[in-house]
Amino acid sequence: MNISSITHLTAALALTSAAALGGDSHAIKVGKVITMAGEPIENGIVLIESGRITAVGPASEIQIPWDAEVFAAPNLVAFPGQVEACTSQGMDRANESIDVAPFLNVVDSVDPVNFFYEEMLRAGITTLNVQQGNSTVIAGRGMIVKPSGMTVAAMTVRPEAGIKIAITPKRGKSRAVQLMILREAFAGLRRTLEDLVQEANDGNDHARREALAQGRDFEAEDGKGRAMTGSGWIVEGLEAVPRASIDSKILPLLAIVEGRISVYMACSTPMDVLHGLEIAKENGFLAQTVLLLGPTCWKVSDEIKAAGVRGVILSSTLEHTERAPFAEEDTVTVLPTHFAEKGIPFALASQNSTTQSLWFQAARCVALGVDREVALAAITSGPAEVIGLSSEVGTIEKGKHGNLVLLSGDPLSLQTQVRYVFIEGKLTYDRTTDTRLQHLMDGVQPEGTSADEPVVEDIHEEERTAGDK
Amino acid sequence: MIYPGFLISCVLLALASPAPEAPKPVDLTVHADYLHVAPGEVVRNALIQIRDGKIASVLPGRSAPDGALSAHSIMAGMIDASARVTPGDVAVEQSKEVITNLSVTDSLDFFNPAWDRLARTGVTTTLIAPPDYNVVGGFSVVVKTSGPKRVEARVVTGASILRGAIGELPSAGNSPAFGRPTNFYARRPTTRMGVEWEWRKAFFDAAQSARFPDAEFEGADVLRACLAGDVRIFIQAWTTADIRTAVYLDEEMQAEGYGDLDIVIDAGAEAWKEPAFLVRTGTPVVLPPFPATGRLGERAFMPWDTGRKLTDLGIMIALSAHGETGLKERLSAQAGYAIRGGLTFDEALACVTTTPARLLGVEKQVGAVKSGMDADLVLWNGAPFSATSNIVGVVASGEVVLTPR
Amino acid sequence: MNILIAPILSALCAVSGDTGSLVLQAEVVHGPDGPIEKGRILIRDGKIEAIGAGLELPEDGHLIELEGHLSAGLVAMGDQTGLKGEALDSTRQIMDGADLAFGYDKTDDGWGAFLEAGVTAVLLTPKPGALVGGRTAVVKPAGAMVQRRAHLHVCFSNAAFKPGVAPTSYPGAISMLEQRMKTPTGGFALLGKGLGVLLAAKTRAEGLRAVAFAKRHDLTGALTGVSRAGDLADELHDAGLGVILPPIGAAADPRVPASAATLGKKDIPLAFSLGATNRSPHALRISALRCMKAGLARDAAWKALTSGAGEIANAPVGSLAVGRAADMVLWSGDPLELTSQVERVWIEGKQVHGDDDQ
Repeated sequence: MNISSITHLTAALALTSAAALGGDSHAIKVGKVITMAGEPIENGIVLIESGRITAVGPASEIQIPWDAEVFAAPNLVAFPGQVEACTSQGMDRANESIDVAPFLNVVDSVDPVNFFYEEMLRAGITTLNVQQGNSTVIAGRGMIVKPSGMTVAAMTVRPEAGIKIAITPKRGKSRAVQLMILREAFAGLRRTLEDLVQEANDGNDHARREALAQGRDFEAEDGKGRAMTGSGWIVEGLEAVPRASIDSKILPLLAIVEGRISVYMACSTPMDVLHGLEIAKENGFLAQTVLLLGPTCWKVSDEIKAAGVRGVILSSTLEHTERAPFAEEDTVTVLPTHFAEKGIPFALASQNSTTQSLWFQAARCVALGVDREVALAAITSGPAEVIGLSSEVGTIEKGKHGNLVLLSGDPLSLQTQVRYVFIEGKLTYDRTTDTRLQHLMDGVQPEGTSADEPVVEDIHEEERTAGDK
Repeated sequence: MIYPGFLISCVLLALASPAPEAPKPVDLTVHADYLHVAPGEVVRNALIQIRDGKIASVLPGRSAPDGALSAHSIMAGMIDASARVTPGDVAVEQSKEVITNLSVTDSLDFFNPAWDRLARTGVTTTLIAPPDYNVVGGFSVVVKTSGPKRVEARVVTGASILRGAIGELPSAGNSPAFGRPTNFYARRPTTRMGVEWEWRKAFFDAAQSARFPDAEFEGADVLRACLAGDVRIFIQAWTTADIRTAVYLDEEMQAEGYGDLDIVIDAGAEAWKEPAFLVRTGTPVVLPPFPATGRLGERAFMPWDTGRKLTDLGIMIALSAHGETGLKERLSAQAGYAIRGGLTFDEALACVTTTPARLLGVEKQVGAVKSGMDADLVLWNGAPFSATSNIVGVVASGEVVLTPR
Repeated sequence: MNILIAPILSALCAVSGDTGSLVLQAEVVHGPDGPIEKGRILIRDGKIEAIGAGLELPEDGHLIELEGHLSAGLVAMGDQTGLKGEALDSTRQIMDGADLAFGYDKTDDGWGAFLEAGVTAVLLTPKPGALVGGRTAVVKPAGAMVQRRAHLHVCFSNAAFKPGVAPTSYPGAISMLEQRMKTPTGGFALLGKGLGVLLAAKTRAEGLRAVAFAKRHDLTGALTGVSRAGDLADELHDAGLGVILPPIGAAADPRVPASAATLGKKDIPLAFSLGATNRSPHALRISALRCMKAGLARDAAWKALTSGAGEIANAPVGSLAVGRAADMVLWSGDPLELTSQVERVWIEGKQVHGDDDQ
């Protein structure tokens, strides 16, 4: 107890001393820095300027700028802010009822005050890839956010990042119908593009006039036509069609086929994976595909490896247990070790449940035999890579966002607490002021957050004290 | 003792016990770098010798023999005082709200794969209770999670434990008897208040039957035994109000001179709120599984440091997992969460071994790795209960039920 | 070469007490002690008077030489044909005085299928749905009642539980049964005095409780409805009970026929049942063959279809023993070959199924 109070006191003092200076320069001094990009650094310092890390190293080697705000926490461990590879929480509603709705965008749905972001921050997750849910065929575009900010703009790390496709059938549909709708979406796109090319070649201006009437802009890039590129199929002659003439509702589909946007593909069963890979290949977006796998999909790990997708995100079920119809025993497959053995890099996920924190998932992976570094990478640099942000987040390295978590001990220990979280250099979370967490951990009712509990009178007190038994 | 079923179980157990034989060679040898014999007792480089399903000896400072079963750390097989592995509502007789002459033993199904799965999570002994659809559901039974699929082989004789509940669940499904009722669920109690009334009435009637032979009724003998403290009662009470009711029940019986009940609170999630009652009466509490974000059955709220708080007050606590086997839900994970909430390792170890053993009256047989006790062991690939450790082996009654890979 | 007699004539010949005796000769006759090559059966007044290889033809006897195998009719254990919804009374939990015999309707169309399948005796059982569903009866398809009260049917599965009626649980059910056994009246009083017990269960755990009950009270009878009763072989043997297996289809769980083989090896009496009313009686032979494939000895399988079943049924059926009723089947080949068909069926010496050849 004493040590942590001293730590807090020191940190508070450290902050106040430099508070007057303000400015955008921070120096964070800790007992250990786990960079996830090399050996841990004892007594390390991380320098952050304008939200980006400018230097990381042992205290003896780092010059702290004179105007830097120093945050000293010599008993804490700095760890990269964790990355949630794909989540659908924190939004108004995860999906629309329309099967094919690529024109939607989660920017309209993300809810900055949702508790979910508070929970993520508390757990030390500083980057989240928010996508629509799996109850869809093709959903709208997602975005990458940080769990702090009162407006969506303030939360945005990268807009227009990724699009969700579900192979696993939407409720009420069979897989046959689901895939038919999916294939038809791309076939429809192809037909539309071919029609536009035909119209353009015929000198028919209809599409352009229609787009203008809808208020589309033919400025700059949009006013020009561009040849279609893609590794799956292309429509010849598309350069004759100004991009703005193409209905904005299907433009995102074109982006998919041209490989310009990541596709997060939800697959529950092994067959879903195989069909999904085939459709991705046919339509040229295999290299941009990230698979969200259900617990049984390990059965097609060879096919996944051969396909060369961008990445794989495991569900929170780390051990898959099944029993053959007339067998007497369960067969257990440990998923992270299976994928590790197959040489398939994977990201772990909280899977839309804050009860299954990333650090805990990583710890369980280690318990199940996964190498510690592989497990830690699966919640930091791995997911950063999967969502295409490996140059920005996922490790504590020069040039990346100043996203750090200060822990009271080893990141995978049950007794470790998240004490502070820095996002882009700014102290965004301080455990001592987290009243909701205090309530959860020790039942303390935060002041003013609920009615005062009435003092319970011991109704038998009188009986008991009146007269001895 | 109390009722025919129990008597029959005793008879069957007696018939099943083998005649004493000359000492046999050791059946199984297990080695641990760290052996947690019991909370607070660690033996380094321990060699555990097992014979006839019991611990024959524990030898310190030995190296692992070639080919022997070995692990980084070993502890006693865990005991879940609220395991809830039953076939559901057909395990409890609901034709009356207070049933004292039946036992859940008659509904056990050892062919259910759930037992095997539970054993592989390191839980080797459980207390199985009638589900809480009744105010008083009948007798619970202490059961080993592995072994021959026969009642005689699996039931362990411990304390006589009666099961009941205070709260919403016993009254759920009952409705006021309007019009013509078509079944016996048109009855009281329909509220928590009614549930409490049933408890009081049961003991009041039992006390009357002790004084007036004419007032004898079926099952009264069990209730009299409860008042005499010969039968322990596990009462499920999630919320503060219900826990208070349970403790007051005992105090009232004492005040009236009817007797002194021996009560254990099961699923006492809110025991932390008003622990004074529990401290005053020395009532032990079995805690339910930790929730992730607070709310539990009957909207009870249990913060993570409940274990620490109650232990500091001197209240005896045990942890439970309600039969869950998932990595995050199992009993060993609950011990980990309790440590996260402030318990020391040895305190958490006690909560899943020696303390529940005492509550079940089987402390001489299970809960520690000592000579003469059942050879129930849990093998870990690291420090027990740590997030980065896993159970890699389980031995139950000398049989290896989970083989280290 | 056959001496062929029109069925009408043979019927006339076999009318009891009238025209003397009938001798049937077949390539193989499956007698009580095993198969007899070129065996003969002497039938008089609907009963078997003699059986053997070189039987002498009596003076008033007709000899009919047949191609194929002659055997006792099969015994089907557990059926509700003809009971027309009277197989289950849901008003009370214990009906120890209810005789299935009262519901037997010999004119029901369903019996034809039994004769076509070579079944000459059927154990009528109630549908599980009450704790004690009544007393079973043994009947001949569209024929006489052989045993009015064979067993008391006691259900140990959860099918006996109904919402809102006591008992609602296993412990409650057993307690209720034990209460009745303490001072037995009605059907309970007849247990062990000629009335067997038919223990109905589904799961093995239920089966164990049922067997323990029978052992506690020293009852004879059989366990029915537990597919993998082989796991209970020791307890069954100890209690001296038989086992009636549910129908085993072609695609069934392989552990089920293997379980039957285990029971056979431990010399536990076996029989096969049919289950639901529309289950084809042909299922009996298929069940037996599945079990043989899994290791059940031939003799045990045959016994389970015939004499063993008869013993479990508490009725003098399923065997071509001297003195028994002449309930027989002519098969085109070995009855334990699936390719064999039923050619003719006699009940009490009267042919009730099969063409004659001209």
